[in-house]
Amino acid sequence: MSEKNKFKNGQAAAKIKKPQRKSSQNIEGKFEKPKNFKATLKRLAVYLKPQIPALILIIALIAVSTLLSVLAPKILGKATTELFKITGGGTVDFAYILKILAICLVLYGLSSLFTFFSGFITAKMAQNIVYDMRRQIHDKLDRVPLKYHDSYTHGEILSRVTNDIETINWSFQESLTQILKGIITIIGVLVMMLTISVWLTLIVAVSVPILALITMKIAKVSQKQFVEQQKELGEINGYIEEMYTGQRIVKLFNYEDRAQKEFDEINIRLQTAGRRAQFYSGSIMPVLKFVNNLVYVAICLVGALLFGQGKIDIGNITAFITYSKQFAQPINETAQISNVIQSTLAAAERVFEVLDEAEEVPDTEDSLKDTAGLLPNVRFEGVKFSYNPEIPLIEDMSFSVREGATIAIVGPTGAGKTTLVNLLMRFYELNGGSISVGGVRTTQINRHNLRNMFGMVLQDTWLFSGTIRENLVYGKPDATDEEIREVLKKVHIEHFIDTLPDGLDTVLKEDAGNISIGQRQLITIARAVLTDPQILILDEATSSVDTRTEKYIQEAMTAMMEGRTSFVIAHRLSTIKNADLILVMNKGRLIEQGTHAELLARKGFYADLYNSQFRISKNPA
Amino acid sequence: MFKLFKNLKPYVLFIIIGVSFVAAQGILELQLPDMLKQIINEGLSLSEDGAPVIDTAVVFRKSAIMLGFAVLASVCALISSYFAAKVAAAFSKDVRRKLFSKVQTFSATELDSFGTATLINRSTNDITQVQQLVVMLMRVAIFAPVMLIGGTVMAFKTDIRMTAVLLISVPLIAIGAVVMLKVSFPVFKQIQTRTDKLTAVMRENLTGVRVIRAFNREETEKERFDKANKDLTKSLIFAYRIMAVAIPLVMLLMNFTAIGVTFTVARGVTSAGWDPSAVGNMVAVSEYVFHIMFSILVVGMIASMIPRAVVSAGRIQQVLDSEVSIKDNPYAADCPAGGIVEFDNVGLRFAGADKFAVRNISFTAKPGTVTAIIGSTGSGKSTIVNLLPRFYDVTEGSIKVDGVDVRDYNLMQLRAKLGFVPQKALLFTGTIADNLRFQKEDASDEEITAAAKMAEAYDFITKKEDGFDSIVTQGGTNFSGGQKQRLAIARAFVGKPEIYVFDDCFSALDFKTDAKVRQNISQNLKGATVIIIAQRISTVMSADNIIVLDDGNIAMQGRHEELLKKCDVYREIALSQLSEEELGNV
Repeated sequence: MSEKNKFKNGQAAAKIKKPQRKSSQNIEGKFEKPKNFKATLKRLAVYLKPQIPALILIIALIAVSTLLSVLAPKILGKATTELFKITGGGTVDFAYILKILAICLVLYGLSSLFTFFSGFITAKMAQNIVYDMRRQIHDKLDRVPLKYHDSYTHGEILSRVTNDIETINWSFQESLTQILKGIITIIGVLVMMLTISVWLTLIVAVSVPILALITMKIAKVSQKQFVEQQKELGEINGYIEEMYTGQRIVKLFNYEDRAQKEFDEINIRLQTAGRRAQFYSGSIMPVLKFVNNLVYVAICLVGALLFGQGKIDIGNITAFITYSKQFAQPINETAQISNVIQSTLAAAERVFEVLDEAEEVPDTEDSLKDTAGLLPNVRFEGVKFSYNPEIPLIEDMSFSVREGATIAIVGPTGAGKTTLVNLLMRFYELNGGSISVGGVRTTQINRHNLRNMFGMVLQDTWLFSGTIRENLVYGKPDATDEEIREVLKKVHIEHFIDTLPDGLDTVLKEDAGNISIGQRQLITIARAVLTDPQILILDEATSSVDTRTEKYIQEAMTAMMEGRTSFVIAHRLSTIKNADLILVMNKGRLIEQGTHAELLARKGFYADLYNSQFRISKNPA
Repeated sequence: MFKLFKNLKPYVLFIIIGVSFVAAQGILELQLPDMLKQIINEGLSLSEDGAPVIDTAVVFRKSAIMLGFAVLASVCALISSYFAAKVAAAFSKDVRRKLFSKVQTFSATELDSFGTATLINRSTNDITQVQQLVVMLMRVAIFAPVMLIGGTVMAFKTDIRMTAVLLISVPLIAIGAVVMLKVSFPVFKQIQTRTDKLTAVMRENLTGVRVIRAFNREETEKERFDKANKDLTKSLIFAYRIMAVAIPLVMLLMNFTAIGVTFTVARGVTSAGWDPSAVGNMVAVSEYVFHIMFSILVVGMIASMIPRAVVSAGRIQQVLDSEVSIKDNPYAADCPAGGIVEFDNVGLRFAGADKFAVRNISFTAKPGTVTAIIGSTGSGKSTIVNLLPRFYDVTEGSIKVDGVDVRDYNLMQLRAKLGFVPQKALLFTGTIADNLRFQKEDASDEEITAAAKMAEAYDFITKKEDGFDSIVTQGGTNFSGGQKQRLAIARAFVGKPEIYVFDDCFSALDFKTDAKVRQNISQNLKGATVIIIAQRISTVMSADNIIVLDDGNIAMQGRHEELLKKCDVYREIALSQLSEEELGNV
């Protein structure tokens, strides 16, 4: 490529579309669409199966309660009609009115009572379904291979358990009953309205398609504006995130003014989009109300005329007004419900995706469980593995490790060192070749027992929010207090723990934030030591610890490795030089293996890596 | 907490207009039941033998007026909606802008004390909350009270005799609302806590999946999760059951009130001799009573929502009110070009700390030399160089650049003298060229190319299809750690500053590249002052002056051979990394 073609000048480059900044915040898409409506709906309905008795009861209760509340207005209207008699000088039958009112009291009272019961039962039913779903996801995540966990960010998986299940929860809890109630209301009210007057019913009925049409039109425009707003919101939030996180760089390079300018541009765009989105979504209610009010006026007018023709009573008019309001409610809610259903199904699809994941190949019945007799030697024979079938990683790795030996694994970042760990612990399955421990192939050893043979101390120190004691005995729940003390001494944290007010019973805060990184590392080492593993896997990388703690960690690691077969992802020269075998990895391939002296003599990759520490430093500054 | 809403001042006119139209809408809608009353009382009646009598002209006229009211009410609603949207959008734009500008003036102290995450939240989520609050205040918060008061006025005006039942219903519903809120508040809090717990357990299970499987603890984790799941479910069931009681109860109360009105009228007509207009009045009053009670509920809901939203306002205002600790000088200082950095007995103690982070730091870095700072983690290396661009101000002593105290400089001027490469490379969304031009917008293509070459980044950039126009995604995730670091280094070169500070940025590079870049630096930046912070002995061995830090103080400074002989700390660090003979090979 010629110099000129390598990049356009600054001006033209600015016109190149910049990548969309996305905020890492969870801006929920309100208008999600599911991929397969019917199938997902069917599958979701399956969760209702075990709840059928409760469901039937709920439907019955809602039906009765709704019907009762639908009957009441017409009956109450009779009281009004009776009272109207005085306009003609007639007498009003008070006892009759009392009877009517009493009936209405009972109708309304029962209706509310049944509504309460249905809500009471629905709460349990819906929450039980959701409880099951959460449990299923959690169980599933236990059974899927590690590959799944590594392919998705924690946030993504977490969002399925929290956000998506919340959406589904709401649907089972509210939307289900809302739909049931709505359907029965619409049918019931229609029937009641027809018993009064066909003409008036037509007026109310005609408003439905008009409402639907208007709502759809506004919703279309509103959605467009909403999407636009979300886009600008994501853009500005992403910009804010970037500029705040990189605030020091911004200051160091005097970028503040340009940042302010760029920010203002997005901000103004957001203002316009936000205003429009707000206006359109805010205009749906007034428009709906308007149509409802029109219906109200029409009922008053036509109702009066019909009254004049003797076709209906005065009480019918007031009843009809109530009915039109009762009718309008579920119709008005239809648009929202449609969105809710869509979001729910989309959420359900994501949940089902997790539940449909392929699981790990289970251990067979005859897999070896008693590993006590196995010698802790390891053999890799022609191992072939890659995370992505299209990108080969480990092609043909073979080496042999005798019991008690220390194996140092070195190589540049991304060379495949952690992959070795994944394979040893059988976190991932091989594509070819075999790994044997004590002469037995790992695929023939029960996973639990295989993993019990190993002790693992990784760079990423994972501790959970329990007490220090609980964390220490994580691998060996039945450890005695003496054993714990012994280990604490070996690892040099006995003193530190004694300085804590609650000692071993100190609760580690979520993500163990109340102790330093160095101490966390020591605890994870202690945890591994306590299990007295036969084979050790260690990652020596220790960052951000002070020299003293670093020394402790190094001593603890060295003590741990004594006499144990150890695989060490090495960072210290002394470890590498003293190793019985060095595995030099690069780009997933095992390029060299041997002792330090042997590899230096070979003058290959290893020698090159090792020597480059000194060559340039001879230059004067 | 309410101080933030002073920013609504420029929009007072729009607010008044919007609010007036909402009030108008309410009043107009309240006329509809009254019109119905008039139709009934003036247009309809029964003859002596019970036959219906209708005055069609009256009916049509009243209906037409009703229609007019309905149309006007909706028009008012739309207008108020427009103004609410307008004000809310403008208000949040202003606040957002103010917040962003403010944060840009923050020094490291303020950034540290708030924390980036909080600042981001306040500039995003909290602003959204406040914006929605403004809309709600301009519409619902006005509409509900209007309906409440207006409905009461209309009810009394129409026929005060029938409103007696309100004396029972209103207190009942008010008490009910208060009880509901009081009971539901702790329940919702509990749900929040238990949801957090469930999420926490889930997150732990995800982040620690390797450890859990390695230690065969899947069963224990299952139990932990199950407990959290059960607890949450229990709370949720309880909460929803409370709602299952509340809503039907409210409906019942409203229906009973309607029945109550009818009952009062029935008694009045039969026993107290009320005239026929009572029937029409009853129809209207029944509707007004409904509006009154519903509005009480809405007012209650608003009252419970406002505190939450106002908390957001408080958080935003807190940021806006913060005092910036590092004050800039508006005028540039007179200073020669050069690049001499002098630390004179510098000490820094962070706000609220007992111990000094660094103390008695004195050294001089001259142009054309390389000064290296080495020490174990936490010894204060980064703190020292963070003082140079005035991210913090010294507690003791002074820092001079070219003879002028850094506090006397204008910040832009001071930072223009510096080329800083921090420990963790941070790139911004845009093209590679954009990032390289970060300090100097008008840098020429040749300048960028030269910088890239010096940072050993030229090769991998040109290997890419779009070369220098390649997109850098947010956070630079589409580049490897080493590549990001080299781009950050190149970025510093473009501005051609007098003083370079490399804060442990070579450790992300492999040994070979590290050495090459330093070689490029030593060859091309002959006149510049170079300060390198490192952990690798190999990086600092050849510096003109090595400053050894130990626990915030200078243990010793000098050249490599001297330090090896006389400085214990230095020797300890050196020996932990290289062997004796290797150290001798300088």
